[in-house]
Amino acid sequence: MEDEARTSVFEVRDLSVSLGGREVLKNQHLSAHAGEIIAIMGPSGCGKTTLLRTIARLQPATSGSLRFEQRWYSLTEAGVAEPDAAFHPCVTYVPQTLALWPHFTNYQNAAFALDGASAAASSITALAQRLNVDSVLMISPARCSHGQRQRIALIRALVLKPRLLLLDEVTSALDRGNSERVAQLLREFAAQGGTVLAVTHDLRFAQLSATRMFEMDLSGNLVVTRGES
Amino acid sequence: MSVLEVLIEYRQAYLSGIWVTLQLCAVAWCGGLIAGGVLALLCDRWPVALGLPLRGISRTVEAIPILVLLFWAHYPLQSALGIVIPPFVTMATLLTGINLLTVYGIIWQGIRAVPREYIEAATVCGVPKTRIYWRIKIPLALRNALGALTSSQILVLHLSIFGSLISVQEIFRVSQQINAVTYRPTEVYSGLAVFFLCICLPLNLLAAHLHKKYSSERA
Repeated sequence: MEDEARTSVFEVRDLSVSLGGREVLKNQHLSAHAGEIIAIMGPSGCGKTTLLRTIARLQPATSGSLRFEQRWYSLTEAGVAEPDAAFHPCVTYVPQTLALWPHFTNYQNAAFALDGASAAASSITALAQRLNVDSVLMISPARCSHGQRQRIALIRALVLKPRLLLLDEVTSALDRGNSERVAQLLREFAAQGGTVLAVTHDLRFAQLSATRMFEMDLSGNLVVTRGES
Repeated sequence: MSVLEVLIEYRQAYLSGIWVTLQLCAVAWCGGLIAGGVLALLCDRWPVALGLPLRGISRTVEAIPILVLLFWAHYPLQSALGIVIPPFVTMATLLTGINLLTVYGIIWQGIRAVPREYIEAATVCGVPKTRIYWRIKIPLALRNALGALTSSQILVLHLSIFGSLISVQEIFRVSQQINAVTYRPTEVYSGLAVFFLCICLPLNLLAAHLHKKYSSERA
């Protein structure tokens, strides 16, 4: 366990999750090293989002524990009740619904968690230019397309400089060019030591960005389709 | 005598009635909005210990006609307590109480209707709970509630005319007195309708606009 702790950024052990009496995930194990991009694919309803939400400690598991860097966390109900500052935003999550706050502009959404940090403006603008959303920074998310909102939500997560980034379908509404831009940005993020766990149905995006790919079946089992298990 | 002629001839009386009505509403609006807002926040903090009993009280009061409440407050209650309260104060207190219960219900509902995903999005960004509460949850709750809140304040204005039954010199009672002199109910009460129309129509339009605007803004 100590060797593993030295090399991997996060590790999930014996993860089981039940939703509405149905066991969605059963005894799953997953770990990732710094600089890895892991893509998880699979049919709708197989438990991909549940896996991400559980790792983000937003949803309680029936059993299981999570190690992030050197610290272990319980993933059962008691473990997710009070997320602590050492965990978020070092581990951050972009949900499929995006959840951009509608009473803020896109810029305010991206800058809100930075709490007035001086470098915020330039880093948000730079990321927005790279992802082709600089023209919509000062307007409300409600006036943007879903694809634009996906990129704003990604910027909101990236400016926090997380060490583990959990992404749920962030390219589902993007055209090929913008999807490639996101993949390139994530590769650069990983090259700087960040780790990405991305749930996606976009095979091209997964192939462009992922160092490891898993397929999740309807029983919630992860099968490696690229890289080592 | 046309509506306009009635309004012009009795303008002083109408204005004094309007002034009393607006005073009644100002007390009920301010008191209800402030106290109701505070109660809603407290109910969000203690949903079972405070929220449930208050909901019971609110449902009970809603079920009793305001007229009955008004007579209770004006006659038997004061008699039982051995006190005499000016009708204006009785009416203002009752309206404030009713508005308070309505406002608390609307705002609390607004708080509970804030989608959990917005709170989670702030949590995973490492935003402290207090900041999430005041910068995300409460502003979104107020946006949810604004349309219904505006409509409820229009209702307070309408309810204020019951003050005439305990001799509060508000606009409806003034209209009754003018009618007793002129015997022109159509013109007199049409004049009253003009007053309510001028205030309530813009407010109704505002409520509809706010509801439409904020219900379509989820991102």
